[in-house]
Amino acid sequence: MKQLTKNSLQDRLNLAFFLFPTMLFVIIFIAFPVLFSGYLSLTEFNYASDPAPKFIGLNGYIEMIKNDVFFHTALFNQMRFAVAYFVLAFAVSLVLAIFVNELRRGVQVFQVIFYMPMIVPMSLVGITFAWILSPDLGIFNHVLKLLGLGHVTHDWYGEPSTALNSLVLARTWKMIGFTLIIFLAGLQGISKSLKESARVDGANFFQEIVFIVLPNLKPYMLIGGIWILINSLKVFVLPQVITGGGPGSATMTLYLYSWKLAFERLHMGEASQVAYLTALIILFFTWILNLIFKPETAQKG
Amino acid sequence: MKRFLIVLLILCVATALFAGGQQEAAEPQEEQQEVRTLRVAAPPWIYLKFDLENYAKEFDAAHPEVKLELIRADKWGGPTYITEWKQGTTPFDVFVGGSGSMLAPLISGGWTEPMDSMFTGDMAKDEFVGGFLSAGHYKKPEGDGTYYPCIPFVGEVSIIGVNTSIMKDAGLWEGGSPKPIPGWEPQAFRNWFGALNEASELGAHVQIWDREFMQYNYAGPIKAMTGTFMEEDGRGFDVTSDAAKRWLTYLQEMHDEGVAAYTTSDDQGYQKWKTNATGSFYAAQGHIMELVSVTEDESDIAYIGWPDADKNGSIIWTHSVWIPKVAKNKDLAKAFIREVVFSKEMQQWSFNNYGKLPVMKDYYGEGITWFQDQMPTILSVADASSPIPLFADLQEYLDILYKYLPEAAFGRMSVDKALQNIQDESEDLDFSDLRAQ
Repeated sequence: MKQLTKNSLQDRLNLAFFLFPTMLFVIIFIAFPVLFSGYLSLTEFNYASDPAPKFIGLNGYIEMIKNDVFFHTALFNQMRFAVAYFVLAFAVSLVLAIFVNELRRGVQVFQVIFYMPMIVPMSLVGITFAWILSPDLGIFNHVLKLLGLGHVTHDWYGEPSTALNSLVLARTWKMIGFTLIIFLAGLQGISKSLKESARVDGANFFQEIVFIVLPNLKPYMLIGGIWILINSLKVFVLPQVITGGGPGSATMTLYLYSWKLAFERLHMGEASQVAYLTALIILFFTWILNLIFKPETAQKG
Repeated sequence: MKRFLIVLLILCVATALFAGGQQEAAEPQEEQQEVRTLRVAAPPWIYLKFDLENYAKEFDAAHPEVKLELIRADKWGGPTYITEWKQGTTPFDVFVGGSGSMLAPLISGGWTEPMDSMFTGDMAKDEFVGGFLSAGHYKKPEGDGTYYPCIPFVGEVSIIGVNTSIMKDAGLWEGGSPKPIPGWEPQAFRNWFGALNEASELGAHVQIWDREFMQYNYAGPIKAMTGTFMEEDGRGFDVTSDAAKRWLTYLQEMHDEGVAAYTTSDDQGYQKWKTNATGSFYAAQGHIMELVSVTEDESDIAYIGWPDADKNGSIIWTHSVWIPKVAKNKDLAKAFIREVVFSKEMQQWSFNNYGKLPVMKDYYGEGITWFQDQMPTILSVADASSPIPLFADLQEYLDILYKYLPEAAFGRMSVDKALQNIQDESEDLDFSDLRAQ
């Protein structure tokens, strides 16, 4: 018994010793900033001119939710972006996955092709799409003109009506690779005998998709959906690189607004309030999805 | 336990060895303390448009006691700098660059060194172009008196550049000079741009409607029209007068009638002007000169002001050089500013290559190698011009202006509604000006 206790103490010491660097990292670079920005969100603090943060409690949050028109705009844009991105990314990656799965040859080649944008940095995607959709020199408008659709050409990122959707397009192009791989894994796991039985019973391709493929793909669709949803609420690099939140405030998202408050206006209290409100929104949607996402389904996925 | 102690012992020994090595490495440096390091930071565009590296080398050679380090400040890091300054350290001793709006938070926090002592000899105040120097004149953060927390070293003025070939094709050329816009009366104004539009393949007039240039596009012509672009009570830009309504209406009509070739980013604006197929461009004088990089002939460009701009001016802005208050080598930094940043050679090099306006009056004479015949027009507009005030809530105000001015200019919102919205949403902002009057 004595020996056991000694070993246990030694194990614990060893464990503490090896965990210490990681714990230190987590405390300094994650826990402390999160807690400190939580404190800052309860203060009024101009980083350049105030000697110290002034505690105002929840008044900053109340003021922001009630009166800050830029926060309202950013929240509205964020929701618009999330819905459009969720629908587009989900639908495109599902359709592409079904298409790739039906191929007899070259499945791996297409997997690589669709996954490639995932490894391109988001800022580079932004710059590339800014050029592609440029009103005068962009290839997209050029192709439209060649096809006799000159009247459709547009300043895609320069006009409020199309700017946000153009950002959705760029982000979808970059991100679908990951969900496509998830869906493809699910599709490849569906027993061929199931499909063959359906065909014997006279089911056509679309009936096969609706009645055999989609129900069996449900756990994978839920995992992919959560991943897309979280990404749809974390939007910063693209509007920062391409539009700067404009034209006007048409592409101002919550993350971008928080950054502007912190690094342009140096209002650290307000910036932290936006960051915490964004975190609350993400938590809320994750909770909703957790309600839908039953544990047994998760395990299966 | 034994294993644990062994690992701990090894770590202690390694740490001791590492620390010892550091100490040994530091010792020779202490012996050479007489050589002082001057760290000069500048954003990438300064390295491009000023021959900073070469002139810095000359400074290095002329001062054997100084080791000069040039730092490329790829991103503006105001908050990062403040964090260091709060600890009493600084990543650089002198910073070459920074517009008024970028420097405003640093100056309002009192983080930069007063530069008043530098205005002696060749750099006496009356040697400067007055309008440019005034952009560096601020109220003290303590609220008692005024001072210079930075010194503008390069100037820009918003002015109209015209494409001379297109002007000739449009019949707007007379006696070797461009025919000016005859006045602000609607018919004369429209006729002038209408004629230019006939001869311009891609539209008569380019303007950039991004967050930066939209303020100059709006304020400059109103100032030319009335002598001021501010509300009478000083609370923001003029959004209530007839002049304000008239100008925004013209902007909208020019767009709706296809006369305007507006863009939403600065780069698109420069590219459009450089197609050599647009008649005029309202922008900084230096960017207008960039057309020469395409046509290789400076006579392809002439400058004109908006009607009455020679009398009432336009908008100027500057970029400044400044020293953090906590910098240790302030004497060296000041010597560098005097000998390099304000040297005739470097300032004229920048104008001769990129059209950036020198801030010293004397530098406009001998040594200027191009656009000599256009200088009187540029300087007459610049002399009467003034900078955008540095409101305490400038960033918030710019966000509001950016929300509505381009909407009206591009014809997506009525002029009255846009001006009313600006008025309503900026009601609670702090419009006290950081600059001294």
